[in-house]
Amino acid sequence: MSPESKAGKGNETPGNLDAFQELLAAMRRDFVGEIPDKCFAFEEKILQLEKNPGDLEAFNELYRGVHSLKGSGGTYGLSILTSICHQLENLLTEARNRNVLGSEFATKAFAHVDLIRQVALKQTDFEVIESKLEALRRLTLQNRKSVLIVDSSRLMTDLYRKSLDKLPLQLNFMDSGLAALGRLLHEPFDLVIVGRELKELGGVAMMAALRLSQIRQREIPAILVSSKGGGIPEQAGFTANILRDQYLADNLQSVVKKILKL
Amino acid sequence: MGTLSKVMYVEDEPDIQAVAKLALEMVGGYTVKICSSGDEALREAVAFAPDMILLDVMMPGMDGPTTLKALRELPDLANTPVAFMTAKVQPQEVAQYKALGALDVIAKPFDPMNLANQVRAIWESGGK
Repeated sequence: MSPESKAGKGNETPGNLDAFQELLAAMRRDFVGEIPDKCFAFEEKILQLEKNPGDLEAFNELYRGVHSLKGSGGTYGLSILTSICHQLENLLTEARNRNVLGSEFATKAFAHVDLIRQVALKQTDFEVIESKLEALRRLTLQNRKSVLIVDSSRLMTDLYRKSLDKLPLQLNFMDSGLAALGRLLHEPFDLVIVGRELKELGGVAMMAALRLSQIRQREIPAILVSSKGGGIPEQAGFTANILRDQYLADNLQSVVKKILKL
Repeated sequence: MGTLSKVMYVEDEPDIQAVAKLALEMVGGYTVKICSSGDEALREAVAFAPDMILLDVMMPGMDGPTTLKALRELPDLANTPVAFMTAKVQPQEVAQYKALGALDVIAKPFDPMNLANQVRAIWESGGK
């Protein structure tokens, strides 16, 4: 895109765009150069937590550091870093909530930090790192499957939760089809459950876009929950269509069990 | 309709501060004041007299919504357009931020090349 086409109206100075891009690249290099130090600091905190799982200060510092790196990584366009940090954040939150910040936690946390370090070393071609991240995710999930539920109604969200609560699943809720599509780009799931009417992008359009994309998860099984049958374009490739009626909770549970072989 | 020239950005992350400042100055041509906390924003806002304020939502100490409420109590800042910057852009949250008096929400991570244009579009939507 030419600098002119990027510039808006008013008092912009388009000639600065190239200079800005160069500066941005230099700042990104500095940022990447500092990652190993950050990793070292994370590892120290993890070691402290391993020795003393009740060390709230160490936990908070580690969490803040990871959260901050997640934000900065995104700002510098390193979405792989955002994905790793997001998964590490989840690991931290879950370990704290279940009160298991001991050695098993530490091993997994160290493995995530190691991936962060590899991003700094490699900087391009993140496929190997992505698959290692996926392996770590599986390890953390143990036998659970990860499900992305996209629905904009709170009532429906509660119903999904009740219907699926007893199954070995990790449930993730979102209410925007567009945001869900973005998340599927970076985060692997085993199943998607979508409502028809969603904020920003409807469930059918969201799935059609996913199926037509080059996203690794474009073939993920998907369930559509809607108040009417039919009228669903083939491109959306739904594995199942469940009606929003009084049998929804039971139907959903049995379809999810069947698809995920639970 | 006035001109958008002075932008205040309240953000605690140094990396994001640096990128946003450059993006707003070099791409947008704005005069930018960065504040690292809500407290600092309250101290600096009247003197800087921004045309628009960008507020990070999650900050240690005073968060974005609390900062907005406090800013609104300053007569000079009672009507200055404000946008929140956050990774949480769920519809209920966006509605909540707008109810607090923000014009709009900019999703994080933002695109550095496009941030200045986003800010301008929001400012123009406020009809200033």
